[in-house]
Formats: sequence, structure tokens, C-alpha cells
Amino acid sequence: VNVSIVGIGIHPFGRHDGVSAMDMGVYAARQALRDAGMEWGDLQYAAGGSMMGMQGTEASPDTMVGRLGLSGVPFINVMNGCATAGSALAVACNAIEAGMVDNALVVGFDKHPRGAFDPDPSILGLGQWYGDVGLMLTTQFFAMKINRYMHDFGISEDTLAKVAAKNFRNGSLNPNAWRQKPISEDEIRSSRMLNYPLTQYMFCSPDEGAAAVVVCRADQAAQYTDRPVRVRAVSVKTRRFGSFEVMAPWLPVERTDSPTVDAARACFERAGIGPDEVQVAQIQDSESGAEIMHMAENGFCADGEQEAMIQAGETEIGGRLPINTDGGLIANGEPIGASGLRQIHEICLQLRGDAGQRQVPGSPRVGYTQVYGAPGVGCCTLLTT
Amino acid sequence: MEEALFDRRGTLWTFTTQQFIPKSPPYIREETEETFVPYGVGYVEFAGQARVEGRLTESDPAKLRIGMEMETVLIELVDGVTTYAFRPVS
Repeated sequence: VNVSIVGIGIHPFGRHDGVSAMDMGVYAARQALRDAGMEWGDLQYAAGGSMMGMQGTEASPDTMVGRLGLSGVPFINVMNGCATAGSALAVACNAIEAGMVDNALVVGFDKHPRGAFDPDPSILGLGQWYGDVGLMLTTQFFAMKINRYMHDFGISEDTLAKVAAKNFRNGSLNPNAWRQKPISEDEIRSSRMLNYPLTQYMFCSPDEGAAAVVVCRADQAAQYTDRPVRVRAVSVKTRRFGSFEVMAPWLPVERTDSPTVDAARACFERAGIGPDEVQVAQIQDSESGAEIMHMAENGFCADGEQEAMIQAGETEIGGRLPINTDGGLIANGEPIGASGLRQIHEICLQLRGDAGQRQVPGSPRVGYTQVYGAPGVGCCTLLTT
Repeated sequence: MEEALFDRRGTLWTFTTQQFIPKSPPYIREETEETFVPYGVGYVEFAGQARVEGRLTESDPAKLRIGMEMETVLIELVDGVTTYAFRPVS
């Protein structure tokens, strides 16, 4: 992909009463423009993602132009579940690669009500009965997937707690994180059981936040920054028949790979870079088990190897493959339209060497992001210096 | 589309427990901390047919084991509303 990221912005994640989702989006967009040394009027294209914005409870992304300037810029709204932000980035990259425009803003924001996601079954094409009987909870899926995985590949409950503790610890080094207090493994293990084997502190919670990037033709990046981050690949895949996905009333007995496996493979192939070359990764940790399983699904290890890797601290900031260095979803929460861009924002900081207290040592040059969401969509990006 | 009759018994492929109150709607029961009783959820594999998701009659993880034999039963959710569920065969 001949596209570079030349500006980044983020609005702190968490709970912000009285601040609208669009306010946060505007804040992140302005920060990204400032970082690129650009004015709103310089922008030729924009893609914005939000779930609540597209469901009518918050302003839709394109209405931002009323705040940022009525310049006539084409602004594309994107809603693609948890892959919203990555899909918005893909839209912008495609417009640049097609030669339509030289630069673009990509922004994602959301503001969710408190508590677990509990969409109406009809949104996912399911019958009302599914919600009636108490199965319409994403958390049950995550718990059942990791329970089976622990049974098949020998992952311990201790390792589940270790992942959450790491992400809270990383979050404590991130001024934009929602949870900035380290929580011990003991506290995590003994917190309230929500869905066996997952306790309260192993889960992320829906919240609020925004993130943005400015992208441009790679050959023009030097006009804006001396530290561009190159987008090597963006991939989005939906589920195939037989994969075990969230909110599935039934599954065939023969299991196929998840959309994350498919999206990761496509991403690495397009980039011409392998998982063994990645030096820092942000991957979907809706709960600790998801981070563990996604390590293998993204190709960073074989199934079961996570147990030893995590016990040895290999995914810590100083480890062989630091994962979720900004605290991930567990410390940042989940504003669906923003999460993918938060991950990209963190990789840009790490590759620029600007991650402060949580900087991965050794000047990493290759970073990776992955999000996963209902009803079975995976989105990955590969970024390099 | 063709109708197929499933076996009454299968094996537990995976499971979890629902230990916090689901929002209502969509959940048909309106619960409080006083009335809520956790319930099990799992997929039961019917050999050569499919894995079917449903509520379990057992909600104690210590009494549930992947691979155990389960049978299909009917449970009443609220007055007049019945659904299928899976019960361990002891």
C-alpha cells in the first residue's frame, strides 16, 4: 500500500459525561491535523466510523464538517461492527491508491451506554427467541470459546489473570487509558465471576472515546513529517461456514478457521512481512482469553504455546513480542468505532519512539493491529517505519 | 430445506455460566439481585449432526465437564413460555 500515516490524534477513553461522541471525534481529528501540520481545508477526503453514530443515538461522523469546516470535502460514513475503524482506514487508503485523492482523514468515535452489549437479536439477523431465553450476550461467547480452548490446549486460569494484570499495568502507563490503576493477579482472579471461567476484571467494558489519523500518498509524506508510518496492508474478512463465532445458535461439527486467521493471513501476504518480524502488536482483548487465542489466530505462535510465552513474560513491554502496550481493550474499554484507530495510534507512537514510559525498547520498526467483532469479522493492519 | 430429527442426547462441547443479570429486553425475565438465579449456557454436540447452543439446567461449573453426556429437556422461562435446555445425564 502506497499510503503513510502523517498525523495521529486521540481523545482519552473512558466515561465523559456531557461530552458527545462527535465532540470527542472532533478533538481527535483536530489533534491529528495539528500533528500533520495540516489545516482542515487541506484535506481532500475523509472516512469516519461510529456504531452509535450510525444507529442514530449520536451524531453521524460526517456531521463533523459542521464543526471542522464546510469545505465541501467528501466524507464517507462507515459502520462495520468492531472492524469499523479498520474499514474506514481501508476506505481512505483505497481512495489514495486509486489516485482519487492525495490525503485523507480517518476518524472513529463512539459512546456506549454502561453495561454489557445487548443488541436486539434482529440487528444480527437472529430470531427474537434468542434474546428472550438469555443468550444475547457477547460475553457468553468469549467465555465458551476460551473454556473450550483451555480444555484443548492446556491454558491455565493463572494465565488468564496474568494477561489482564499486564494490560492494567500497561494502562497505568498510558494517560489516555480509562483504567490507569494496576490490579494484581489475585484481585483479578478473586473478582466476581461473570461468565465462567472469566471474572469481572478479565473483561473489557463498553465506554467512550475517539481516535484519528491523517494519511497521505507515501511519496508526499515528507511534506508533513519526518517520521511517517507506512501502511503496508489493511485486511477485512468476514466469517466462513464452520467458524465458531459470537451469537451463533448452532455450529456445524466440522470447524473452520476464524475470520481473524483469514484476515491475518491476507494482511501478512499483502505486506510481504511475516508474523515473526512483528515487534509490537495490539490485538483484540475483549477479555483475557481473546488475547490468548488471538495470539495464535494472528500467527504469532502455535495453539497452546501461549501458556509458556505468557508465563515467561514474553508479551510484556520488555518481552520478545510486546502485546497491547497501551493496555488494550481491558484498560481502555471498547468504544466500537474508535478501538481499531486507538490500536493504530499506539503503534504509531511506538514506531516513532514517542510512547514514553511504555516505549518498547530497541526502536521497533514493524507493528501490527487486529480487531474482532460480531457477528464474525476480523480486521488487521501491518504498519512499519 | 429438509427437516431432520436430532438425537435426544449429545455431549457437552463447551459451556459457561451467566452470573450477572442480562438486560431486559431482550431477556424475557425482568430480574433483580434478589430474584436472579445464574444459569448455564453451552453447546451440545449431536454426533454427525450439529452443535446446538442452549441453556443448561446446571449452573455450577464444578458439576459441568466438557465431553459429558447431556439430554434435551423443556424448561419454563416465564408463565406460558417454554424453551429447550440441556441437562446432564447422571
